[in-house]
Amino acid sequence: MRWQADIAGGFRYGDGPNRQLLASSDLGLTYIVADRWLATGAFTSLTTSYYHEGTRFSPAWVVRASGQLSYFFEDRWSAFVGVDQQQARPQFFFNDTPESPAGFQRQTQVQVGLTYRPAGRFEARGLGVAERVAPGGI
Amino acid sequence: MRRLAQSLVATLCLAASPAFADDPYAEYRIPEHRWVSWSAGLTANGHRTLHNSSYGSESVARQGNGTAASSLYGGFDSDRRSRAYGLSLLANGAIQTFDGQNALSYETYLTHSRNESALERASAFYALSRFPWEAPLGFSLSTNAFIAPRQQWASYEEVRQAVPSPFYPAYRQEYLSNRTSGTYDANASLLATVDWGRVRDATPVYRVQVLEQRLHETGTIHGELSAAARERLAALYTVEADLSFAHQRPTKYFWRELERLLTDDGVLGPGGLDAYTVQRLLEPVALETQSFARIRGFSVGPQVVLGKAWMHLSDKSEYRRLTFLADTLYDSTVLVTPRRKLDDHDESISTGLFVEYHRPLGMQWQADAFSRALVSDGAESLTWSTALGAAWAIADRWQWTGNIRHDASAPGKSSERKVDRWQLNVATSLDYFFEDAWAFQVGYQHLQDHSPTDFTRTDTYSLGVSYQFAGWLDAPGLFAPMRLSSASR
Repeated sequence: MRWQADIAGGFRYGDGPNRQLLASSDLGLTYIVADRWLATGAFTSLTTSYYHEGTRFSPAWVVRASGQLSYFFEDRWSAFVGVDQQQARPQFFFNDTPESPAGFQRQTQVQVGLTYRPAGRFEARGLGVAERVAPGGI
Repeated sequence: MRRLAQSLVATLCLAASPAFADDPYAEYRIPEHRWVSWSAGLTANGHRTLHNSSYGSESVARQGNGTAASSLYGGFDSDRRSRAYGLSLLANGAIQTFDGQNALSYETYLTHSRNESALERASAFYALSRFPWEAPLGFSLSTNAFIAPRQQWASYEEVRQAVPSPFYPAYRQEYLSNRTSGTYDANASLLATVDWGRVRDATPVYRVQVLEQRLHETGTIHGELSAAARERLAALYTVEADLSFAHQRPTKYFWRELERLLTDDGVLGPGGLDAYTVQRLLEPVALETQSFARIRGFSVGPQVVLGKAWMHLSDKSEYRRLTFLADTLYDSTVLVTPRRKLDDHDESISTGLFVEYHRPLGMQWQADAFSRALVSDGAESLTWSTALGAAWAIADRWQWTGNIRHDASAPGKSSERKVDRWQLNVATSLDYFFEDAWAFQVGYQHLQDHSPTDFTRTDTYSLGVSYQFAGWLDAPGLFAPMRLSSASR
């Protein structure tokens, strides 16, 4: 009931004379800590290679890993933490010729979000309705 | 003359009083309710990019951003008096840095830049209305204020070091620049009116009528709702949106209360509200329209609109370029822009008269009319707006609407005043949705814009038809095969 795992992989060949090779893989993991409390993680990779005028060029690739934790305590708290890391070796085209420089690019992103509702009240006496934010906290 | 004035007052009283006792829209009164909500939020994100190239360059870019916000809303509403207030605060800070180096065969670059910014925003509103007497005389006041200061600091630094060669000597160039700026925008407005007559949004009454029809259609209730239950259900629909002040997911609380009211009235069967019925009750009344506004009443009176806006800008910048030959200063350029300040403000005062009339004609028809004329400060210009609208709910999920609006402005004083610009907007549409078969929408809009130098006329037609010929689902062991509903529905 709590864990979910997903794995997918793919391989393609084609694009005529470019003889493109494309390989991808995806891995996902979800953990339901409790109702409205979720942790997720994902890993993806994509590799592409081209053939041009008798030469197969070294592949371009991108790898990405991310993780998130989100928490929602109704009427009170909500929190979110996420990390995303991506590393890539891009490929450029000059006059339709693929070139893969030896360099690379790496990106890291961190996100944090937090909301809190200290007070909330609604009353309609004629209707017999008196609502307040649900009690509790983390 | 006196008799004419007396008959005019009597006519206005008649129009404004809750006449037509058998009209449920006329009997609608706003239930007493109060609310308060306070929330706060914090978000932050960081970003780092490292770039490495085989061509000899390497760079690191960093970015950080954080926002803190808080809002407070509260108020009280009833048929005789109301007040509402809100305060919203936000602070945002951001920083970006960039460090890079590029090594070429003849030159190396070293770059460093840094940008920082801060944004603060505060907004508030307060509104109140009073109808203290039995006579339909009321006062209302609403005010809004907003201010958003912003500060920015930016600096840039670059060093170029040339590799010695037989063609030029070794040199070093340094570029330095920085800029600081501060701005703010602020505005405040106030609207005050005196109303003779009373306009109420009686849409909750219509929603109860639709609710009762659909509850009968699904066989969920037996017998008619009592007058008291209809009144309490209308009160519940009135406050439906306000439940969100107490709960972040208010829908379930609303349906709990609605089921309780139906049970108290004794019309609800032992099965209560089943999921099928609730989903049917949640369906919109027309293809596009989620709700059908049923406003009722007449109001006329004077109006005053005050507005003021402020703007401030302050900035300064500096740029330096230094060239060194063999560690000796060879050339320098310095550009300094001293601090400059710019302040501006604008204010407007308009006074005038408004009149509006809204009337639901049974459950199917709605007619609305509104007109307002405002004279600017010093009677330098006159603006006049008039709108007429009608809607016809032909049947559940079948609706026609028509609207005409005219706006005109006339600058100049008294006898010199002449209309120099006017706009006319005419729109009509027909929506029809026959579940599981037809959906049909046709619309027409006509726009005219006249100014002293130009004239534009635009006609827009729209037509949409969809028909579902077949639909079928079979899930053996789960339920009997489903097909599109028959046309007899």
